[in-house]
Amino acid sequence: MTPSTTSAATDLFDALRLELRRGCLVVAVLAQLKSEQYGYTLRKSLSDDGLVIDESTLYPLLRRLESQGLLASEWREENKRNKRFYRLSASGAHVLDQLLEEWRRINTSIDRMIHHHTENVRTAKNGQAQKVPQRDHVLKEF
Amino acid sequence: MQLVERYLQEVKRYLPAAQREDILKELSANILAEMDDREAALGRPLTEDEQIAILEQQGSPALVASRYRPEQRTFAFGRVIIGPAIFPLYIKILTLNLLLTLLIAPFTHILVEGKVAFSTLLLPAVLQFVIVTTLFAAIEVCQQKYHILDRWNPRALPPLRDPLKISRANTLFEMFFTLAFVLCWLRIPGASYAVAYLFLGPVASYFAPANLSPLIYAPAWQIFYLPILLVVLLNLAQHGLNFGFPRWTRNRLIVRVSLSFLGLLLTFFLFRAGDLLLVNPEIADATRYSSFAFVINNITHYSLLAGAAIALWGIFWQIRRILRIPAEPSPSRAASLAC
Repeated sequence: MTPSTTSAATDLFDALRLELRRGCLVVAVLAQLKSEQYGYTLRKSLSDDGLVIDESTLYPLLRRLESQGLLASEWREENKRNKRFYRLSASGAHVLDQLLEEWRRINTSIDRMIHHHTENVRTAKNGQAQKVPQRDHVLKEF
Repeated sequence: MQLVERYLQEVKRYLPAAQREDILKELSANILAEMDDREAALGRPLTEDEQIAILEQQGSPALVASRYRPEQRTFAFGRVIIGPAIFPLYIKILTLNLLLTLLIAPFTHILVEGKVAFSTLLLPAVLQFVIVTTLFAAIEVCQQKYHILDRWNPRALPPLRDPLKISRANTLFEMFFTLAFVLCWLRIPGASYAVAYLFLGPVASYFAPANLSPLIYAPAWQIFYLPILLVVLLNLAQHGLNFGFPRWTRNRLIVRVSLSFLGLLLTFFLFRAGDLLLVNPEIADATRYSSFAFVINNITHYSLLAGAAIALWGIFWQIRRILRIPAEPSPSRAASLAC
């Protein structure tokens, strides 16, 4: 592989990864906001659970989800600083349930596909393994 | 934490006006919470380098602000040509250029041909569109390839702006032009020629005829002569005060609005007065200058309109500034409060 093809493959992977993460982040944020949090602590808790997310992505996302009615927010003082606390709204909870159901369905389907593929590959390998000695046998006869 | 304020000031420049204050309040709360958290973990205040590291993590001001735009608009033609990060700036520059083109082009056409046609305005407008779009498409390519928007230096953030500070350089500039106007208006010998020479150099001599001027002032000017002089002198006095004490106060802004309003009123009456320059009947071939007088009167009328628009804009900003300044307590009230 030349450096340019490696770079193109990396760019493509980054773009696809970004697309894959976009939907997952919404589910993660909604799931995490079952308990009330403000922007910074939410980012920290997501990161602690293995989902690192940029501030410049998370903070606007929270506002967007709130404008869509999935989150509710409230300004409150904590440690002598005013902070905006977000929590899942009733409609957000309903949408989260639906999204999780969809997530599990997709996950099961993909698992099944990967499993089938692995099975097929294994069967094919076994088939080839059985044929190879026969060929050797034929070759020896010549 | 001045660095945070400087960062927020820069983000503010690119934010959508409707939610600007709310977004800044929330962003500031999150950044400060992160800094508090880091300080608590370290058990000491953060150094400048540590503060910079947190700000760098947030992203460049332009990029951060672009993510808050509700609609991620782009200019696409099959594929994205101008992405959402620079699209708002593209629209701003394009609108400004098109407006300037559509304002300046008619003047040029009136001066050269004495008339304006829609078709003659189309070419400069299309040219502006093509040039600005090509430029921004190139910036987008660079952004995709080299991520130029991600590269920024928190140390190079502009210093905090004081909205009430008056720039002495601007005041000096205004004082110079107001004084030049006063000298011309009072018909101080040689003043008009000196001002014209300042702008046009030796070419000014062509506009200073030895004997008779082809154009004379219309009688309407006699009515407006003194009011204009008075308003200009009051403006000059305020510029002098601003130069000595370069900070806006509520009272000074109220005086500024009143003077701008008086100027606007005079502009309105001048506009309604009709032709402000007439062909001098004493010159030999007076009819030769009638089209020249027509062009000059047209330019004067358009200039008055532009002046009125600028004055209105100025009044709007001054009133906005007044509303944001807390009222200064009068000496008696301050004394009673102190008691």
